[in-house]
Amino acid sequence: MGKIGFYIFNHFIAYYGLTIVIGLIVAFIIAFIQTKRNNLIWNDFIIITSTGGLFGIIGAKILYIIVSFHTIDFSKIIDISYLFSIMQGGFVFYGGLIGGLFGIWTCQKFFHIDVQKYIQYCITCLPIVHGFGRIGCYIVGCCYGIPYEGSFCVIYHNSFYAPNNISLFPIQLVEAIGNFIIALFLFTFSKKMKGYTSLYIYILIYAIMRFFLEFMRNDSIRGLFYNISTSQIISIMIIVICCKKLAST
Amino acid sequence: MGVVALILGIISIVLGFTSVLFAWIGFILGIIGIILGTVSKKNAPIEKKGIATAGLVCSIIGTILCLLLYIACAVYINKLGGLNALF
Repeated sequence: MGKIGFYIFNHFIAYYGLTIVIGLIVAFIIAFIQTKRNNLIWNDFIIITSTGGLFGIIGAKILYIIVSFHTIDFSKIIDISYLFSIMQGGFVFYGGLIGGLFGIWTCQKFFHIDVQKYIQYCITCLPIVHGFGRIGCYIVGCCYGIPYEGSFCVIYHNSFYAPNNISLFPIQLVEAIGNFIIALFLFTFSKKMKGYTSLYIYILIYAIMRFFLEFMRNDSIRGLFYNISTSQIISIMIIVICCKKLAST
Repeated sequence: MGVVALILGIISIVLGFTSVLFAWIGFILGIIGIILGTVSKKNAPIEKKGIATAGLVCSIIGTILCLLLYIACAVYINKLGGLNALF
C-alpha cells in the first residue's frame, strides 16, 4: 500500500490512472445501457462527456493552482521539469465539476446538442468515476484521513503522500462508497428526475457528504481558512445554489 | 476534421508510450481528438467516416495510455521536488 504505480514490460502504470480507467469503462457501459434504453444518440453522449472532461481537467487544474498557490515555487516555473510536475499531478474535484459544467454548456452552445436528457440519464457516470478515483487515492495514500485506530484503519509504509507507519482513517474508501451509493440512487430514480433535477440532486448530496467528510481528512495542504477547508467553503456555496435551483424547479 | 483527430490520436499514443512527463499533453490532445473524431463521424459523408473512426479509435487508445501514466489525484507533486523524486 502507498506505492504510486507498477511496471508492465518496463512501462509505468500509475494506480490512480488505472482505477480511473476502470471507472471510465464501468461508467461508459452504464451510459451505453442508458442511451439505448432512452433512445439517446451515443455519439452525442461521447461529445458531451469529452467536452465536459476536457474543461473539467482545466477547471480542476486552475482551482488546484489557486488553492495551493503558497506551495508552488513560481521562481522555478521556467524550469520545464518543475512546470511539468505541476501539470502532471494536482487536481481539485470542485474545480473539475465547475469546469465540466462549463464544458457541457459550450457543448449545447456550439454543437447544438440538447444536453438535458443526457444529464438526466447519464449523470450516474460521474459519481462512478469519482468513486473509482477515490479507490486510487486509497491505494497510493493521497487525500488521507485523520489518525484513527478503530476498525478498517489503514497504515501506509511506503507512501509518498500519507504519513507512514501511522494508523489512519480510511476516508478515501468512505468517500468511494458514498459516491457509489449516490450513483445507485441516481440510476434508480433517473426516470423520475426531469431536466436538470438529477444534476442538482447529485451536486447537493455530494456537497453535503463532502462537507462532513472533510472533517475526517488530514491533508490540510489544500488550503485552510479558519479551520474550514476550501472544499467546505465551496460545499456551502454549492448547497445554497442547489437548494435555490431545486426550489425553483 | 477526421484527419486532425487521427493526427492527434497518433500523437497521444506516441506520448502515452514514450514519456511520463508529456502524458498530460497527450491526454489533452487525445480528448480533443475524441471530440473532433466523434463530430466528424457524426457529420461526415459515408466515404470519409473511415478516417473519422480511425481518428476516434486512436484518440481513445492514446487517452487511455496517457491516463495510465497520470500520477496523482490531489496535490503534493511539487512538494516532492518534481517527478524525478518519484522514479
